[in-house]
Amino acid sequence: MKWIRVNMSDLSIKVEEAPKKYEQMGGRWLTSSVVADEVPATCHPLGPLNKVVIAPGILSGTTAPSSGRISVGTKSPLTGGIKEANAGAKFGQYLKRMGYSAIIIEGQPKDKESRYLLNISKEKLELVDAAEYRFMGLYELSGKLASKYGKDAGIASVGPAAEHLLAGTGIAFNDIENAPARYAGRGGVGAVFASKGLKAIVTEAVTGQAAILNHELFETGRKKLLAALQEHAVTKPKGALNTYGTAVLVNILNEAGALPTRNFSRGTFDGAKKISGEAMAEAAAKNPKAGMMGHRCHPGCVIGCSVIYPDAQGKSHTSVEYETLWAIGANCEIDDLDAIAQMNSMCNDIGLDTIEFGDAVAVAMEGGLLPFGDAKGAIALLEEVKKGSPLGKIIGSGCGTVGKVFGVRRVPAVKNQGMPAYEPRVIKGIGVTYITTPMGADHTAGYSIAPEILGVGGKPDPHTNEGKVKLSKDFQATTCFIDSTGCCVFTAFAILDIPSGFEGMVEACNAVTGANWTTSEAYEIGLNVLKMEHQYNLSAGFSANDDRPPEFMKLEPVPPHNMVWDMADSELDSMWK
Amino acid sequence: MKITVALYAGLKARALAPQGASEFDLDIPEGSKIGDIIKLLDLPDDEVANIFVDRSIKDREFIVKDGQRVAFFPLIAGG
Ligand code: SF4
Repeated sequence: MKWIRVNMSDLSIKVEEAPKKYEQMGGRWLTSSVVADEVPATCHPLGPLNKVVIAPGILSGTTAPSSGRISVGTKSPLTGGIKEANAGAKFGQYLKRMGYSAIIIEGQPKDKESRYLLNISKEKLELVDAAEYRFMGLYELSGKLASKYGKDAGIASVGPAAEHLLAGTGIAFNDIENAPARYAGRGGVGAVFASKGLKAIVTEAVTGQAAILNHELFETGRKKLLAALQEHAVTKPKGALNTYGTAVLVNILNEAGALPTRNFSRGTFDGAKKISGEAMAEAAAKNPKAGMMGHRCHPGCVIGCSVIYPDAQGKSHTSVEYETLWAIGANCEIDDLDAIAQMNSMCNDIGLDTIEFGDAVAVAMEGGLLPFGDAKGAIALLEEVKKGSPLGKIIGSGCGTVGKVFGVRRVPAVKNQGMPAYEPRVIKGIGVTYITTPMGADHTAGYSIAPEILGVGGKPDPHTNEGKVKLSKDFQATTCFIDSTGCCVFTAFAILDIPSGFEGMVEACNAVTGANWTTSEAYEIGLNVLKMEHQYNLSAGFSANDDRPPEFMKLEPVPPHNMVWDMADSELDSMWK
Repeated sequence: MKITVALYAGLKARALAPQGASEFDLDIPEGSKIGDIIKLLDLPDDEVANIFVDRSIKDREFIVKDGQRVAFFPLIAGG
């Protein structure tokens, strides 16, 4: 296995043969392992000792379906712990096809104003001066880089908010049409990338297939996974994700009384229908020139959950996701879909994580900075973030910071990371995931919503605590493995109900790595990754007290179910026993 | 007795629903089960995957009471 090591202190680039222990790793398994091995757990996240590790999954760059995810690992400036965030993009597929399994960025240039672009092609690896792109918005940057490096080139870049080193920023990966809309969004990975003096990385467009050791086995595995994805009602062509996008969830969470509204003070939102997947599908059908359902974030995705939303002016917005609609919508009591889509595009442009932004604005609303429902006020705050004004820096630092500055006690965060779009007092399993994942509150880390609300992979009662630690642990471990394969986490919906799909995924991985894993060994690999990440956080100074919900969730019943978080701390601690 | 019905994500009632409406009031006999309402509306039974009554998950055997809100969903997911 080869990786690229870039030292930003002396601007050197080396191609290294990775030590043998990493040979079968990819994605999250690889990023978390390198971070655990190379980044001192107590280092400052924005200092020279932190590193950014970017790794495509094991199957990325192959023809395995929906396998083009790329992981970014680092020590998070938002949580102070280990972080992995991933996105689907052609960037990683190209990297893998060039024979590189990772990029490790370390050090830091002395001149804080300097900016560089890392150019990766088959012929050469080079760091070029990128001073001209300083604080440039990512839509403009994408256009400029496309004309220089070709419209099909892969781009990873950070916006002005990340250059202000704000903890609520991500790294944008360009989609097939070159929109900077696919985000490794959470935990401030954008700020760490920017702290290295990097503005962007470009990968040359490379077609073909990444290296495979056993083609026959790969084909067997690929076909099994593909069959599961094409059969399941959620992932199949013209299935739920393809037709309505992820925002198909708005109405069901609302009907479940678990759509966090008005800064997590209620579980239902009167404007839910207006910001739903159904509403977007209707708008896209009316204006097919500017809108599209079933969009794909990277070549080779067979699910296509992404949405290009056309606003009333006919402007296209890629990709308006459930979490964004909830964060900026229900959570801020904004029911204007066009305004949310506009803010989604602004976040993409300046490099902000839409979940953390929505949580931050809702807490600011609670603190009296602006009224709930004030879309214009929220847009004005985004302008402040872009400028890097003191107020903008507060908002861009996430909901925890905003809560402190405005004296708000109801801050929906774990490990200082804002909660996503599911009320944990009502859906206990996702609460366990938010609270215990080493990532800070993160739904993708162990998406127990699938069985608890959606009836996919089982149907446990969302309101009870019983069995939820085990449920979350199983989801977290399996997700760690899936995040290492490069497969989109949405493949889980199909393989939860169709076990041969998971077998196929593991077989395809065996064909690429030469391993001989069974599905239960794959689970064990995931569990070990999870434990390694947990251990890193302990070394960084975390304790069991960081695996706790925000206090208000124990004290304030949330209507309409009027439930509180009532799981014993000792039960949460059993996650790691 | 009267209940409110909400249909989502492409589920369409083939009977008794106002044309194109996704949310409407419905008169049903006392003691009706969810399964009866599915029949009454001629919903595609095999597509109805998740049912909520007043914000809680229920199955086809649940007996609906006057004034309740019943929401029907096909199999969906996201995140
Ligand atoms: S399902 Fe959606 S997020 Fe996943 S790979 Fe496909 S388009 Fe991207």
